[in-house]
Formats: sequence, C-alpha cells, structure tokens
Amino acid sequence: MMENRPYKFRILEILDTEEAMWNSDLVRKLQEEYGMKSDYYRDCLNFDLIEVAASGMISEMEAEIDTEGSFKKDSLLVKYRITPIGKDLLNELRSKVKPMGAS
Amino acid sequence: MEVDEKRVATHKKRVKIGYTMALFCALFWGIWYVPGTFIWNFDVVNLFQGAIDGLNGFEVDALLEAGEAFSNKAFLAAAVLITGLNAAFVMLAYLIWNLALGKAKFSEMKRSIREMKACTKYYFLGAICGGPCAILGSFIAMGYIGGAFAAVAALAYPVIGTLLSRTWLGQKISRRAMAGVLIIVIGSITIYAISLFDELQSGGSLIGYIGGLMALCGWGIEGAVAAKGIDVSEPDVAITMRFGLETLLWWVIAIPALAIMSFPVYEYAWKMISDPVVLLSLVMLGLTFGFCYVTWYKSFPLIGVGRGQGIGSLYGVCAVIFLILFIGVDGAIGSDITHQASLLIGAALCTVGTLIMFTEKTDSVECLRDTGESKEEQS
Repeated sequence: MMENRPYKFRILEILDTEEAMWNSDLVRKLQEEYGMKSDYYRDCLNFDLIEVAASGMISEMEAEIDTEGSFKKDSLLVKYRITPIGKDLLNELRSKVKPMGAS
Repeated sequence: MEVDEKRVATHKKRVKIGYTMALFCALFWGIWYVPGTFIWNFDVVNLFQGAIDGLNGFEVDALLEAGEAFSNKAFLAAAVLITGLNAAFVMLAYLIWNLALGKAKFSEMKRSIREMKACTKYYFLGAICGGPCAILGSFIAMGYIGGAFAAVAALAYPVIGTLLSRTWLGQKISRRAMAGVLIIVIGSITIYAISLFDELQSGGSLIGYIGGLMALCGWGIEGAVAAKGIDVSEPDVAITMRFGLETLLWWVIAIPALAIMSFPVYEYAWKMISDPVVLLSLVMLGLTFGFCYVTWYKSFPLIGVGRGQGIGSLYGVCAVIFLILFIGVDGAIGSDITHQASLLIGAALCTVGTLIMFTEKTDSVECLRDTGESKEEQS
C-alpha cells in the first residue's frame, strides 16, 4: 500500500510486515524500490532511518559492526522493529493516503 | 571498538548534528538581520511607502530628513512586499539546495505533495503560522509598538513550541533541557529589556500587542506542526514545500490584494529586483533566511522541537552581534551604557543556557518519545 509513497511511510510499512530488519537490508530494499543506487543515497536513506528511530516510531533491537564491509565498512549495523506508537502512526497514514492512481 | 561504544558514539553524533543544525539556524537568522535592516534604507522602499502616503520624491526626502515616519498602512504594505520577495528568494535558494542534494529529492517532493492529508497539510499550516501570522505579526508589533517589543515577542516562541511538542506531539524533554530553553529565552529577552521598557512606557497599542501574540504563537506552533509532518517526510522536502506554499500565499493572495487596493506593488517589486544593489540584498535575504529554516527543520527530528527552538532563539544575541559588526555599536544598540550592559547580561545568560543543554547526557535524547514498548512488554 505504501509503495512509491514517501520513504518514511514505506519504512514503517516494511517494518510492520517484516517484524524486524537490519538497516543494511532495509536500506537496500528501499534503494531498489526507489531506484536510488548510489552510496550517497544509501547514506541518505540510512539517515532517514536514524530520524525515524529518534522520533520513537521504530526502535533498535540489536547492533553489530560491519567488519566485512557488506553494507559500509566499520559502520554500525542496527536491527530495527516498529514500536506501538509507530504502528499507530502507520494506521493513521493508511487511513489518510489517497489510493494510487487517484488524481 | 566495541558494539556498545559504537552505538553510543552513533547516538552522540546524531545529537551533535542536531545541535549544530540549531546553532547554524541561530547564526543564519542573526545574519539575516543585516540585509533585513539594510533593505528598509533603500530609496526604492522609501519611495514605495511615500507613494502610498501620497508623497513625491522631494516630500519623502523632507520627511526622512525631519526624522518622521511613514503611516502604518505604508509600513505594513512595504512589509508585505519585502516578505513576499523574501519568500520568493528563499524558494530560489531551495531550488539550488535541492539540485545540490540530488534529483531524488524532487521525486520525494512529488510523492510528498500528493499526500495532502497525511503530510502536506502540516506544511500548509506551518506556512500560514510562520509566514502571514508570525512575520506579519512581528512587523505589526514593530510598527505599532517598537522593534524591541517585536523582538521580545518573537524570542519567547520556544516556550509555546516546547509546550506543544510535549502535549501534542508527546516529545520528551528533560528538566535540564527545559531549564536551558528558559534561560536562553530569558537571556534573549534581557538584551531588549531596557528598550522594551521605554517602548511600553511611551504607550502600547492593542493592535501592536495582537501582532506580538501572532509572532509568539506563529513560530511556536509552526515548529510543532512541522515536526509532526517531518515524522513522515524528509526535512529538506518539508521546508521546500512549506516555503513554496508561503510564496503562493504572498503572491497569489496578499500582494494581488494590495494591488486591488491600488497600491503600486508590482511596479515597485520590479524596481527592486532591477536595482543591482537591492537585488543583491534580496539574494542575501533569501540565502540567510532559507538556510536558517533548513537547519531549523533539520534539528527537530534529531533533538526535538524544544531543544531545536531553544538553541534557535540564540538568533536574538547573534542578530545584535552581527549588527554591531556591520553597523557599529551605536547603530545596533545605541551608546547608552545600560543597553550595552543588558546585552552583556543577556548574552551571558544565553551562553549558560546553551552550555546546560550541550552538556546534557545524550542517553536522555536517545529517543524523543515514549515508544509505548515497555507498557506492551509488561502487559
């Protein structure tokens, strides 16, 4: 439902569906969906995740260091899950978004 | 580095970026007062006000030489025209900014504009609160009471923003951060205290007080409303939409309304942008105000509305310092020793308030809201 809508809408929906996800997988999924392949956009989308986590809509479950460089060498890999207030916000968004294709 | 250390360092970095953004907001807002003060001294702006008061060029010169002021009607019309031009030049600055950030920002903007009910309505409300309400209110307070009263009314806005962010957005703010915000607000107001006392003694006016209230509530509400929108969209996209809407409010409603009232707004808008020096000042207004707002909006999701607005209101002290640098002590605060003393006391209080906030442990800023997770786990 939130495909091709603002990134933060989609972040909440993915984490609601997947229950929990590492930032590396979530960012790659978003890069694929939105056609934002470069490392610059990877970092931009990762910063969106940091903002959503700071707002309390998603929370950190686990963390590890990317020693192999599978995402970004020596960066912090974080596993996120949606929080109860994040679920409330997602439900609020679902009730407000216009159906795709409607003008 | 251990994972926990890295985790803490990442949070610290995020909070540091948030405070840096808020501090840059104060600096840009303070610098904005330099072209913001100069613009009122250009001939074209005086001639515009004179034209509304039915004065020719010689009569305008005579009025200024006698140290008299234009009518409040002429002053407010000029304020609307300058603010409308300011908004348009901010939009030009954002066009360059978003181009620098990459084309994906424009795609995200399109996606966000489409979601009127879910996010764009907050920016529309922000544009009304921060534009016609706060900026015009500030000018009304300036015109009908005085510059110090207008500054004090606007500088108290974090109190409204902090209250709303707690009650409406549910953002947590520690006692320490709250104390820091209050000390900065008191310090900023102290800078203007003596001038404020003089202005109020010479008699206030109801419309001036309403203007002050518009500025106080306008910027306070805008912060909270914008933060609600930024929960679901990107700050760069949010601020561009907010200023796009404000530009439309001025150029589709307010300025055409003045034209209908037979004020020569379009003629003087053209004269202003075709004069290279005035144009340069407008570009400076757009760049400084534009980036003060970008950094203001970027600070909210990182450190919360209360902290962002508290540090942001350091613009009061920054404005005075930049004006002293550009036009000298006498021009900026006057030669009276009491004014200079109040500036020093106010600046010292602002520094104390800022340090109280900067030295707060980052674990209290780790998450800006109560996520509801602990309650769910207990049940």
